[in-house]
Amino acid sequence: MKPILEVRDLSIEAGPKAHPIPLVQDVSFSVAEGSTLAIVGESGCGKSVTAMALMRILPEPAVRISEGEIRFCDEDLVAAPERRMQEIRGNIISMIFQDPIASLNPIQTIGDQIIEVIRTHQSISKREARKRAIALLQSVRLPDAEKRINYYPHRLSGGMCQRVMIAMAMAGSPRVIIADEPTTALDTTVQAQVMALLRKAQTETGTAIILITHNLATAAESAKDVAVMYAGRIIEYGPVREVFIAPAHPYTQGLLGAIPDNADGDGEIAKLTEISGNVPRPGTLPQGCAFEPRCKSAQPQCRQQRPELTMSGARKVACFFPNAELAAQ
Amino acid sequence: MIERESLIRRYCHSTTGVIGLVILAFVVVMAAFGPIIYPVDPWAMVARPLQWPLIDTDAPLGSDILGRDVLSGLVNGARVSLIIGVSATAAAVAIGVTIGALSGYFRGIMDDILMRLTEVFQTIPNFLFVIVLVAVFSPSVFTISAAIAVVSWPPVARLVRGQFLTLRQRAFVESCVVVGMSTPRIIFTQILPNCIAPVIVTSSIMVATAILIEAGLSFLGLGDPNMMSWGAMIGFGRQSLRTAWYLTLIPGVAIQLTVLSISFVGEALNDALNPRLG
Amino acid sequence: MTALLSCRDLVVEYATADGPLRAVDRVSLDIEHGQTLALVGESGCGKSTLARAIMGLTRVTSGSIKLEGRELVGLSAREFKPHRPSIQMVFQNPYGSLNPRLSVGRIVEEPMLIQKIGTSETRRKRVLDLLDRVGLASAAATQYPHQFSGGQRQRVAIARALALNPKLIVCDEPVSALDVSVQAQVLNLLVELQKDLGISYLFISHDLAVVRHIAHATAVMYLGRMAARSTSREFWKRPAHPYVQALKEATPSMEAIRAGISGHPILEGEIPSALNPPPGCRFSPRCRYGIDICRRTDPPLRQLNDRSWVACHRVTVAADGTVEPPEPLTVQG
Repeated sequence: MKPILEVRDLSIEAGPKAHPIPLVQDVSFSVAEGSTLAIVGESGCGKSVTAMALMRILPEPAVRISEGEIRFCDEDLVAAPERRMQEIRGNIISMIFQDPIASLNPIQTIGDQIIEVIRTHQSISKREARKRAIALLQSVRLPDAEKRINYYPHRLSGGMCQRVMIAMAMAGSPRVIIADEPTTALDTTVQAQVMALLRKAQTETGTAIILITHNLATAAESAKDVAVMYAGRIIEYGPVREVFIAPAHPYTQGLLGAIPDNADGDGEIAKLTEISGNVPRPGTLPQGCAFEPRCKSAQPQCRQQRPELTMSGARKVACFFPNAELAAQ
Repeated sequence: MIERESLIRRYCHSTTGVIGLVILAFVVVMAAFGPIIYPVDPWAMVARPLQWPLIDTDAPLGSDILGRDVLSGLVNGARVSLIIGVSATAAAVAIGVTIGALSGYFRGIMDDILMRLTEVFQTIPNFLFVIVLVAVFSPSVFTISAAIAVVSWPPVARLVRGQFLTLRQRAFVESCVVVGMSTPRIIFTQILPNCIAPVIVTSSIMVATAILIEAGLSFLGLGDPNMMSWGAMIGFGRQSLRTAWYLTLIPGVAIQLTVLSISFVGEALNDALNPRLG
Repeated sequence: MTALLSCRDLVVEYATADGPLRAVDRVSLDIEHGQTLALVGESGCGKSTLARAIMGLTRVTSGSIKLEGRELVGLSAREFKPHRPSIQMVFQNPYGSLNPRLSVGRIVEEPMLIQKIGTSETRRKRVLDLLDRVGLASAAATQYPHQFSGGQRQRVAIARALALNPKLIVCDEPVSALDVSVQAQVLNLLVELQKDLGISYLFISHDLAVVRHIAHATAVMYLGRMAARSTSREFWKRPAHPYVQALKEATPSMEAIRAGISGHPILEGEIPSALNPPPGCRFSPRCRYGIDICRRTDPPLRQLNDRSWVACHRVTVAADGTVEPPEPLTVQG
């Protein structure tokens, strides 16, 4: 399928221009209409910065795109002027944030906030916009939408606020939705509701979703493809089932191994696979592979040279000794 | 504690902070050693009246309507301004921290009573209240400082209360309860050191305000009659504002520079003490 | 063998602006020596309040908490102090639980200082031993919390909790603020410490994967009430209580991905406010097995067999002793 949004060699840096600190380097991915791409990784891997870059809402000039393209239908969003980006945000690409309560204006009713979003993108009357807002709130299954449209955010639970955020994100019938940890702040049962809601919105409108998450299982449940990021780079990229069932990169393997595997039983509690060390901080990366200091299968070559993201079977891996080859040795 | 070396380094990142510190240091030196280096009685009539600055060597910065030396007034006034600024602030911080800490830590009825008290003091117009206090207790450096302290502690109390309310709920405070630490010990060793930074910043601004209040009092003739102060100098120069404007300008600039330098220092301290906000 | 800690009919009520809030409602549980009891539930279920009550951080309205047979409820702060060393706590947020102005060595030493244990020399040695025990270099003692990553800080917090040789450590979401790769390190450390020192844990978590890994026994709370309790590690395999089922289904798991399972039934509705809990069974408004009696009477926690307890009208026990989860309703009301 033809990709609707394509990112090519995107690099993001922060700090003074003379000595920039790279946050994201050479990241490329694409997402097709009606499908979901998950970007997974731990804190500081650059996944949220990437999401902000797609919307061009980085706190420039402190953090800025240094290189690369973000192509939406033959248009490069990196080069687009701010005015054009304002048209795009909400209309073509919209975003859902982690903390729904903080993302809503506390002194405006949720109705006013949705109506405002609708009216920035469509020239319709207030009354019509209100009707549409109610319809949107009903479509995200907010109970008693006609009544709750007049509520202030503090009267709604976290889950309801996230429904409102999704309604707002859907208001402009976007082609791409970027969901940055949309369920992390929510309760388990509400998480499942919100993810189901996003999937439902996707099947109904055919929008593409870029799901940013640290939770591998959430990614596995909702996405078609997955990009695993580590220290600002994509280190493994491919169809989600393939990547998670047979991870090629030692880091992906480590991450999956570190998740407790639900081995119920009255025996002794098994030891989890650890990844030793800590997540590196931006600006303190080694010269070779960024994962090398923590990698169990590191070789001398890994310290000197950085592996590029290259095709390995059906997916891309940035490792000199990916899983399959190690096994063959 | 934040390491001293890095604190100084972070402080020096701020140009205005360094400038402020230099000016302030100059004023402090002037207040401490000025009367020794330049031993001219500010009340003595040493020159012809209304002498403009830079003309007469007896009064390098000119003389006032009674022939008193402006430079001597400036030097001696620095002492009064700083003593009052610092002592009033110290007293206000002591009152404010105590009240804020008690009401923020214990909450409940204690909080209600202390906060109502704070509000009472906060709603009385500061300057008028100081005038009344000083008028009742006859002006001296001590009564003026005390009067300024009495009106300026409420913001500190509110600030410290807010800090205590949030810090009290932080897990590290609970983790001290869990190991059996006593309440006074928690207040003094755990919470208080963590709210020092904003208190320092606020108090630097309070020093500036105290100096201004003192200047206002002296201008109105309610200052310590035995001490020359910058406010009093402006008050004296007021009658001859049109003919000898330097009499008000020179002490006025001194007050402005001092107050400005203190607020520069306060701002730079704020940035240096709260590096994570910067 | 008597349990290390047992709670009986514990009630914790708060006065709020909107009236009294019963955060913990008649909850009973036991924590065995050297074992881990996981306390699971969503926000507002009362699990953190229960933990705080056990720690003596919040006032208990009624009920009893016994530590090795000695009653803790109703003790004054002074009477409680000698019991403090036995129960320690590791908090969720490793960034908030360490005083930023104290060195790590001081943070770990502090509990011993307060309880007046040892001389400065022996304490210093003990601090280094403890740091070593949790996998930190002795150089860490002179550093400050902000110089450490989240996982390392949590190690410091564990070292501090160990300082008084506790019998029980209450772990309030100890790994949920940590990255996955670091989570495993901390969980392994906790399990290892338990094996070596025989410590019991009350492990509060919302992460089922973590709970299933670490717990010997599990208690699930919903809106202040105990929904189900079990001392079996098989508990999650075939949960009987409808809420526990729903929790399991709502949790995305890698297991399901590998097996190719997708599309669980989704539990609808929101968690009601604890200020105004629904009548009858508190889960009944969201329960797909709810019948009339569920909406009228609150089911008591009843024992199903020697290892499990459940608070549900519709769970039955077959003649051979197997627990039968409720049957789906044929006619939906």
